[in-house]
Amino acid sequence: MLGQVLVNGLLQGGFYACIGVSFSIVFGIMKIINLAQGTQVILGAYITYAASHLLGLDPFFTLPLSIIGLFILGYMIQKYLINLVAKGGLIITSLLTFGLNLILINIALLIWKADFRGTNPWYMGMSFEVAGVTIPYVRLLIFVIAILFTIVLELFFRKTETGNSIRATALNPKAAQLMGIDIGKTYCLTFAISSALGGAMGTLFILAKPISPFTGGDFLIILFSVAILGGLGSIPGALLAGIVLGMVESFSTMFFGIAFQNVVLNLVFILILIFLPTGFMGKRFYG
Amino acid sequence: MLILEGHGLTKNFGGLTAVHKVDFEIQEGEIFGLIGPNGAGKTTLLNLINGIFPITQGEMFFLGQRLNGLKPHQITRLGIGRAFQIVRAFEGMTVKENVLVGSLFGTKKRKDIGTGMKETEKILDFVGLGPKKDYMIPEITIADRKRLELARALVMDPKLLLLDEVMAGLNTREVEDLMEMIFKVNRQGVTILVIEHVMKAVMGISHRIMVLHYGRKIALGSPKEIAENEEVIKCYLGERFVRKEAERKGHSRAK
Repeated sequence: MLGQVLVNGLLQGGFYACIGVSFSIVFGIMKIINLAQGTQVILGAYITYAASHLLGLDPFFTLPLSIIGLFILGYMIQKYLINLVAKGGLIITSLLTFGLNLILINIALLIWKADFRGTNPWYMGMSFEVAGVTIPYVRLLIFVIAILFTIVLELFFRKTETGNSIRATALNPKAAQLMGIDIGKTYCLTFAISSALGGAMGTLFILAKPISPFTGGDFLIILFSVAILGGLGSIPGALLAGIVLGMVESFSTMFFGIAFQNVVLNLVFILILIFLPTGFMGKRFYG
Repeated sequence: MLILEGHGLTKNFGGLTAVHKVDFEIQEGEIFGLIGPNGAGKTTLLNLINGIFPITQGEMFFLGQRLNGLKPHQITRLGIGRAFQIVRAFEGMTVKENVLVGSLFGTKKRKDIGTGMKETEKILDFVGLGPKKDYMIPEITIADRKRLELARALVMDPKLLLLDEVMAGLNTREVEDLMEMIFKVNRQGVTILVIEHVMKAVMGISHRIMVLHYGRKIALGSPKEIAENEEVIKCYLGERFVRKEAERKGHSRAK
């Protein structure tokens, strides 16, 4: 029983880590709180839903579509909306993403209605057993892909030209532009990468659970918790924080029942804000 | 040949005129000093050259190309590098990564990370930071941070280098080291515009000096001409005299 709870927590944690990272890089690098990120994840899921139903694709193989679709959407949002008001500071950009969230939810409502939609791949209910612990293939797949994306993103920031320009801009935008970096474009790229990662997570999410246009709101508490517990902008921190939260959720479900899952998560979030406001790796965040 | 020209440069911040109708021309290959009391508009003038502030009035040309309206990163890529008065290193990065960023983005041509790394190592050896390349910024001394500022500007292979009070806060020995390094850079053909309060340094290295006072140009000439210019003596020595007087009074009151 304990083994099962641990494994459930770990598998869920990988997913939380990755959506947390997607939110955290925008927060940490640009000081922008993207309140629409949960809904962007859901848009990625809808792309998968639409593509798998219209084109008959296996939902898993729609991953590139949701990544590309959300990358373009994210780039546009930053370029034509956020960059125009970025000078206004945190409140203005937060209001903007709050409004954007409402607009995106309503667009999803118009197209897909309020019903829950899901995918049903042939491998859906299949699982294997290791030492008495049941592991569903889908969950394992989600975990592996989420962790893989997180690691690739960390390497991208450390090892590539563009990654270095994003880190430099995060640390000191003024100095960065005097070293030849186009910070407007860097911001667009950062937001686009965050959106694309969110979109990919949407595809993974709808493999396991059905979604409605409002599901995105449920992610917000996870996004904030992972970002802050991990230390803003820190990818290794977010990875650890995601797994911790996955465990918390898994154990709270076992001890208090699923009805209290959100209560416990919110409580943990408040405790984090009080006792660990800089997070696990607060000293080394990018921004 | 002229490398940088300013014609009637003016910068207003609301009702305050920080730079007022300043004309100047910098020759290719020279070391051009810029001095003046605090608040004279020196750093503002540098910010106009970099494009950090838009020019209110007047025109600026770099090697014949008009700079008005260009963005800071575009101006940087034309070949104007800058080292800062307040050290603006990327604190979460190593010494090497700090310089690497300039190497990758500070020049016109894009290059891959391997080439950038090679150039970075070369520049770090040149400024004497080679052994400390893997240190994080908080681990190095102020003098080393100034060298890092210089390295970050140099790695962009600038034709014109702007140095904003890089000597401030250094001891005599460190000032001499840095002066030596600036000479070396200049001998390699880089034109240098230097803002400095350390008089010994600026008089010692500059070919020509411009003096700003309340945003206006009050003198332009060789170090010798500047040292003998009455208006400069009035602005500079007068101010210093007043400051010393104030200090003396402050001490006697403390007793």
